[in-house]
Amino acid sequence: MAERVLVLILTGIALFAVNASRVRRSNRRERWILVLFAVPAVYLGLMYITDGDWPNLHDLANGSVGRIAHLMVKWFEHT
Amino acid sequence: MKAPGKQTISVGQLAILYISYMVGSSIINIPNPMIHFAGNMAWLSVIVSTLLGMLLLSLVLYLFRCYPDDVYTVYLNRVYGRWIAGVFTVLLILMLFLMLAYIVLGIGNFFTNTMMVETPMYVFNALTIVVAAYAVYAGIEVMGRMFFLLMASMMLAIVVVVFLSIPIARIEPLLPLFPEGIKPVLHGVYFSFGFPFGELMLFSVILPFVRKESRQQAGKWMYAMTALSGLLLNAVTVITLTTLGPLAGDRKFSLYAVARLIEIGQFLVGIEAVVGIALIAGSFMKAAVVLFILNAVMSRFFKLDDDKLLLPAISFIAFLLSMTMFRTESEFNFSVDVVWPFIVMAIGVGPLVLAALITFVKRRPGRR
Repeated sequence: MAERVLVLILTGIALFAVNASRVRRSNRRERWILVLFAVPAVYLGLMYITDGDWPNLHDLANGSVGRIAHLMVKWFEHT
Repeated sequence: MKAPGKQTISVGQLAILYISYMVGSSIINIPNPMIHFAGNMAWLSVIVSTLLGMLLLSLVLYLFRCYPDDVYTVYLNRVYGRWIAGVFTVLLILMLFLMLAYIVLGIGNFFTNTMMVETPMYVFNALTIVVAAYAVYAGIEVMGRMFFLLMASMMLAIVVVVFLSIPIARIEPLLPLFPEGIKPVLHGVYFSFGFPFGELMLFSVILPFVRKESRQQAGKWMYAMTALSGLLLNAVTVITLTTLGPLAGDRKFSLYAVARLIEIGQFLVGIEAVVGIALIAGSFMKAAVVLFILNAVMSRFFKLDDDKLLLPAISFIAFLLSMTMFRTESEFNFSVDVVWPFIVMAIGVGPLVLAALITFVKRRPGRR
């Protein structure tokens, strides 16, 4: 778990460090949009740290259009 | 977001970005599933997909001629209206997140399966996404210039592998033709049109960045690069089939597997390491281009003045997606081989084709 937290911190620093001045210059609306991005980041971050098997983006894809795709592929495979 | 006119690329740089995007991750990931689905007729599937890709490209270029200064999402607004276009754009953003995470995960999978099996995957995923983010920070023109060298090394690796493996290739695995009918070929077309030829529609986001004076030649270059992509993918597929034979559909990262077989006169052996790194550079380039497109689409969507403000957040989420999405490799294979081509067609290609049709009807001569 500590290893995963360290990975997140280091990757976060590497990505966000260069952006600090941009965030300082941003207006209120832009900061709210950034806060909006924190929601999926925190969810996925927790999922990564706890190694949880929670719903993810590919589940959304597989559960919706994935069914039709699966039917099509089944038809292709049926000789 | 800056107007596309402020950061511009030449038509040559567009061609470099386009070929690196098209061949990028597909050259290493396509042959194995293609041969698995279409068997020894995989070459025909690639040809059909290339032709379909050119048809799609003609629609992309038609819309570019109609709306020369607007990126894709802006002309979706014009064609469909704000709300429907908003839905299509949100779906496109989700698709781009998936795509970026899949590419990054593909790089991690390649290294942990072949060259550095003991190293944790987060090392590769984090390094890829951080370097791609810095490339996007530098701007599209820098990417166009930088990718020339990476692309050249990748092309060289492909040509070397293809030519050096000719002595160990046999023609028999290519015969008989259509051993199981037409359906396996259609399956191959479904897969290879979704990945990578259908994905070319995303270049409608990059086209407005081309300098106005050289836009006339953009179409010509893009058709040529699409044909070259088809040719390279086909060459790699055929050489994989003819060297690995019946095993070709079961060997992952088949081009790398072919490179391992090359042995010229007891001194030219073990070239797979060099080839592997050159090939994976292609996946990195594609990741950087997709990150650029995702960032451009989101900056437009949120109407931001600073087009780089969201870049770290987008990159961080993509990294987390790549680390959390799949528990087993078979889940990943199912998502890429079965679901991804359909996502590209439904969310990427569908709205674009419809937009081109609506624009054509609206602009028909004689219409009041």
